[in-house]
Amino acid sequence: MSRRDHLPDDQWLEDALRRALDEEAASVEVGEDGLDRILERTGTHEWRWGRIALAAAAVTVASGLGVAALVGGDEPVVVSPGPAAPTESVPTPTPTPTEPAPTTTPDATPAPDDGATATPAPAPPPLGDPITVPAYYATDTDAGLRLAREFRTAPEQGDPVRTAVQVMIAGPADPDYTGLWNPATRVLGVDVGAEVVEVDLSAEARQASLGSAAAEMAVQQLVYTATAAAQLDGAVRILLEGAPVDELFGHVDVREPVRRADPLAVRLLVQVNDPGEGAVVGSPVRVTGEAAAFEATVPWQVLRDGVVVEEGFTMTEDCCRLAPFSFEVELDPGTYQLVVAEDDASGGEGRPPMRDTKTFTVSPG
Amino acid sequence: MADPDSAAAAWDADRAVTELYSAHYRSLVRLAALLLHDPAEAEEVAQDAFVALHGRWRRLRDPGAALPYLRASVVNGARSRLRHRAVVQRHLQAVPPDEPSAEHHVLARLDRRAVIDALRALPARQREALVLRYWAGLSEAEIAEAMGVARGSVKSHASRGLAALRTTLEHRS
Repeated sequence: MSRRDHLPDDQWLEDALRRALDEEAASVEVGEDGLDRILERTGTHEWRWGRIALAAAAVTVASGLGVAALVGGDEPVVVSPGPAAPTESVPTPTPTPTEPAPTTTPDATPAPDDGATATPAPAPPPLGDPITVPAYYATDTDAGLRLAREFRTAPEQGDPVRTAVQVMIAGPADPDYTGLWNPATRVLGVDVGAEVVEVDLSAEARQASLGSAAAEMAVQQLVYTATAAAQLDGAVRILLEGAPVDELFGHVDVREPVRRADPLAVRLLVQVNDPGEGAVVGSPVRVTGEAAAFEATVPWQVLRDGVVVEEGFTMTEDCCRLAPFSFEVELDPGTYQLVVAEDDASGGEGRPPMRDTKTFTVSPG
Repeated sequence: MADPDSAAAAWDADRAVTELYSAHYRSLVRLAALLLHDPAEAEEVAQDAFVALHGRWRRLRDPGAALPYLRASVVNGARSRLRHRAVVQRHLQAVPPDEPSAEHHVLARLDRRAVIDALRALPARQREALVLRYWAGLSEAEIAEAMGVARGSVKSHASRGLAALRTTLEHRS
């Protein structure tokens, strides 16, 4: 102790730390073949990404183990399995069309299937094991309505596409998102072809009062959801009560199958995948998502009771398309709000920055 | 936006990675090793950083941004790997450390071992802040960038880390 006592404050500790780190670092053997290994990998960079994403997508579909995978247009996106997606039930379709629409609260609990057999044929398929499906909703940004996505775990209803569309119709878990579809709408049938997904909806679908922008977005909500769940880079043909229709909501021409609109024009450009809204997770919390961010830089904050407790930034692979990001943050048990936003580095010249927020809980231990 | 890829375009990605490799690979492996346990993993983390940089090279406007990017990738990569090893580490910590020998010259070596062991027992962010400050000698702004945190948090991570080290080491001696 005597050696240390005459040194002020933490000086002895800082010196010991510097010396220990220097010696420890010097003892690290560094191999000779690092550059070869790196260049071997970069030579196949593009190829590897595509392969890995598609292989993972195939596996998740085959196993059906509640892992969400999504092929969106020409960019496959794979979300690795995580504990964050809240498990919940999909509200079963309301038995009669005349009932008032159920509200879309985050904690929407399933209406128990109490044998209300007044539902006209075809009967909804029996509920299967839980699967995780992508579902798109609308969210209001300073740049207008945008599509936001949730990965939701719900009992399978016949097949993933039908399940996803039903989850979409029932409404979002995130209070910042809105479903544009009448929640009383039922999915009567789904047919996944080589290039077109056919989705047959009940007549309640028409009972929505949407302006032209919202009407376009509602159709894209369905197109994105159905093609994502079908993992198909294709189009969606919308049927009502089994028959083709010319238009929806008085604004949108749906005579031909509808393709996905340009993601940069319709999607929320900062999207958190994990933790999902209301998720209960352990620390460190792994945050994943996608962003099309200026200079590929994505700032984030974690707030507790409105006070910032952690903040930083992460980077995506790419600046100009929706590309994955991920980071980890250590947090004490408690309930937090995560805000991931675009950096407004344009100096206000471009459109206003977009953001995604999630409320989640870190469990003790 | 005038002349977007100016300086970066002068180098192609392979060339850039090769140059940066010879300048920084060794120190990035060592940085990873100080944050991790396993030298083999340290090399993988450093290589991952170069592979990521290669993929991003065309969009990295300023070659000066390359080293901060590599550092941030290494810190992030080490943190991810540590998380996967968390269970193993808890197990290792349960094993009692070697008894200190009485000899004086051994004491000096044990000091280093004790410091490194104590460092490895810290939460990841505290360890990162200390390694980046006391080994890499980075400024607070550079540390913040490498860790992906605000500058204000660097100070608190470092001082909490230092306080925890002092407690552990004083108990040992």
